[in-house]
Amino acid sequence: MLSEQWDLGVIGGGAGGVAAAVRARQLGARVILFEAEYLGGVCMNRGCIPTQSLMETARLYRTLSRAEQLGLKVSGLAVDWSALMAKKDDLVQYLRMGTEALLRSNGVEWVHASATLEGPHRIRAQGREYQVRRVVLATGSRWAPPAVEGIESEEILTSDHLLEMTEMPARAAVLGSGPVELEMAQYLLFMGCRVTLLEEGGRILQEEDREVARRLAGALKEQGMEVLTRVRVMEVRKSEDGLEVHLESPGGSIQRKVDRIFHARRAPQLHGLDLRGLKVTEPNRGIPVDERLQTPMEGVFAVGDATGGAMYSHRASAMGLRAAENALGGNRTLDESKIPRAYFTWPEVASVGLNERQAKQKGHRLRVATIPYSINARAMMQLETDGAVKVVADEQYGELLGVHIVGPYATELISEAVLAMELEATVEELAEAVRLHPTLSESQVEAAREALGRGIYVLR
Amino acid sequence: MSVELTIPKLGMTMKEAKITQWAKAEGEWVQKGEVILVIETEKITFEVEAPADGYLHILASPGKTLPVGARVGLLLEEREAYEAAAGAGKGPSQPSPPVEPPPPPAPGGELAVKASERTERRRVRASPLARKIARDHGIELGSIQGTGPGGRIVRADVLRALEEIQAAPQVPASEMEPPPAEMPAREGVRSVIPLEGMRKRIFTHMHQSLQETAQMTLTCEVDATQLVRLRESLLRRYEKEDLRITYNDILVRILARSLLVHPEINASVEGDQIVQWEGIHIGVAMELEDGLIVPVVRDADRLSIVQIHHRLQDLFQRARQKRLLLDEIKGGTFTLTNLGHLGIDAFTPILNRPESGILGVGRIVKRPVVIPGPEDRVEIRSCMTLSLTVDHRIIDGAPAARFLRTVAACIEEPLLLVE
Repeated sequence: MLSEQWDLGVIGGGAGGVAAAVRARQLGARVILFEAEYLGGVCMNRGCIPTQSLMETARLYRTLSRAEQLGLKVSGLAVDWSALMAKKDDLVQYLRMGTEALLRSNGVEWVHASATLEGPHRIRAQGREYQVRRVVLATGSRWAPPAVEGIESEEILTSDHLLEMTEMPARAAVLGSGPVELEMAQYLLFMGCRVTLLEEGGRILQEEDREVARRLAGALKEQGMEVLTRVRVMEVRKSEDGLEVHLESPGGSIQRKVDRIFHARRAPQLHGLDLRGLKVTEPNRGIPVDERLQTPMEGVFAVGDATGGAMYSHRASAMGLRAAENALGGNRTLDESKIPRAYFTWPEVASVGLNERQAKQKGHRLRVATIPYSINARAMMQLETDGAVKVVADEQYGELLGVHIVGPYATELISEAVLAMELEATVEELAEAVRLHPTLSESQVEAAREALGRGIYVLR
Repeated sequence: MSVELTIPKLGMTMKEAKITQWAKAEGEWVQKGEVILVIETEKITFEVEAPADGYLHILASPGKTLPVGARVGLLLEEREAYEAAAGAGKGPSQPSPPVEPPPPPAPGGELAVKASERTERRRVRASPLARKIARDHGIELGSIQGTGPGGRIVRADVLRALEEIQAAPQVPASEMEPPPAEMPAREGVRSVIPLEGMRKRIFTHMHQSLQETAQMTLTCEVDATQLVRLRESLLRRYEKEDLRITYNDILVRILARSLLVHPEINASVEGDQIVQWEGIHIGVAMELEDGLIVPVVRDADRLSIVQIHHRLQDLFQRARQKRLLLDEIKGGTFTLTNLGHLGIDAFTPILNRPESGILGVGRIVKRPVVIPGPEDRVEIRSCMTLSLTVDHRIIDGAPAARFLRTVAACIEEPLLLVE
């Protein structure tokens, strides 16, 4: 009998699973990976990659629609839907093939089938049992349809649908204001749809700094999006000219007429797992893991969306690397507080660490500074001054607690702050290191200086 | 007056250091506390501060590797003294040859030498945040084990070291106050002090000590007349050098000598074994503003009373500045605690775990004593009470008593120290 033929079995071939598998191979383990659908997971096939591919074009489309302000004359500007879809599909196809080649070249065996975890050392797929010494669960997430009176969940559209749409609805409502919802809403808006964003809470971007949320909400409204907060969808009534959305708000009930309703909230995908053995109490919160990413089942690790928390591809792959190392005897932990967050809206939003309120709640005495892009030369050249850099630091040693950026390329600029925090740089180092002029990066320096009470370009 | 500059011991395992550079020039007037010399070990680069004011006379030149304790320079208070010292040598920056070992052979020629120098010149790798916290608390980065990438010292490492320093074996003597229970603001309560930091460490350490061992205290009164005389003569002897030898200095010497004779007391329990230690490392309890700390005089049996004095003064001073290295508060094998200056005679010291013995010393007081003889007579003698606590799990009453008698005998007749 073959026992423990593989050192590591990975269930799920998304960002977390692939990273775990390749890392385990680098460490000399025999690895087998199971994926029911496409390699690359949600991100590559139905999430970040195709979405961003469309968004990049939508963003340019919006920029060029203001060509005159930029000193350009453009005529006949229009979306070529088939070329746009081809651009997106080619990219996804290419990356999917790349992932397969990656697994092959690293010597990871992979099985194109759904798998179930039968025990800490047994995985079943296609009627066959696989004996493995350790397991990494990277089963990802699935759409969690909302229950709305008057409309079947099949009639609610998700980001999956939006990716294939070559004709925009005239009017759309988007439920929620997480990263995916905001990106969807803005894509619709830039492509000519009238969009109403419906948020139950008091503001959008509830996880983020209040000031950041205020700036983005302001920009969205200026772009023509209707942003309604503190509203709850009570009922949807179908009428001849579309869907009538009935909302409850603090000021009484209100209605909006739309053609389509979009929703994107996701929940951990736990199908085929032994939930009792893994001690999953609330499926929406995912598989519990300790800081080494070990589940309550000995020898079984879990990563990414399946563990609940922020559903980001970069989080999943960071977890995958550590889980693989720990499964093979390592002792690596992941500091979730240093995982950056991103919203690929326009202006973009990116952040790492604590926001001002969280830092205060943790008992820190703070040095906080915000530098708006309205005084950044590069932003002015681009006519993109909706934005700011905010630095949150502890007063005593200037420890960087969080950096929050709204504005063009925020998702790229945040990396400097991520590295600074990883290396335990303080606000002083952030202020000291010289950056190029004229760049957006300069605002981070200035924010750090201002946090130390010595900003140079701030009017007093 | 002159003060010797020596290679300091920065960690338990440190044996030698290389002189990287002198931060001051030959003959320059330096002030106490200024960085005077940079040395480096395999692990760290360390800046040596001037222990006193004076004119610098350099005895060892940069590039030389010297053992811990080696003389590398002098600080001379008077210009004349400096000139005399400098003149006695072969010239200011000329090192005196016998001190220095010859340079190691360089197999790969000059390039190889440079390469090895470069690798030796490793700085302490630490994050900016870790550096700031360490600087603020006066913790020497070189004493901390880094856990970041490539052994880099990160915040968590400094915080751990800080906690360990605060958790340092705490003392004995004082009776433990019961912790104030959770007290909501109510009448009659003057203040509520949270059980945290150093107090929390003492709280836990003392309680654990009593829970985990079988403590027995033996007391006896000794005639300390000769001890008092010895101290007086030492005071006179070192008056000019401004050294005030204390009873504790002498008692550490006496304890070290007694432990040498009774290795069974210089022991700890480790698992299901009794481990008798080769080194005799004596901790001396000292009071701090917010608690107690027990700096350790390592290898006390190899030090003279004057050396013990210097060591203790240095430890006490840095303990007050919270600048002790971890090495200096850990690894003791026996503790001395003295409440004599507070007018106490006998008490029941609590063991400083994992040690198995602690000696409590009471005040020295004049009493009428019957001197036995053919015709008993009464004399006025200086008397002192000793209180020895041992772990009865591994040390029985009789051996404990014999050890205490050895200590007592040395106090009654300190000449035994030269035995």
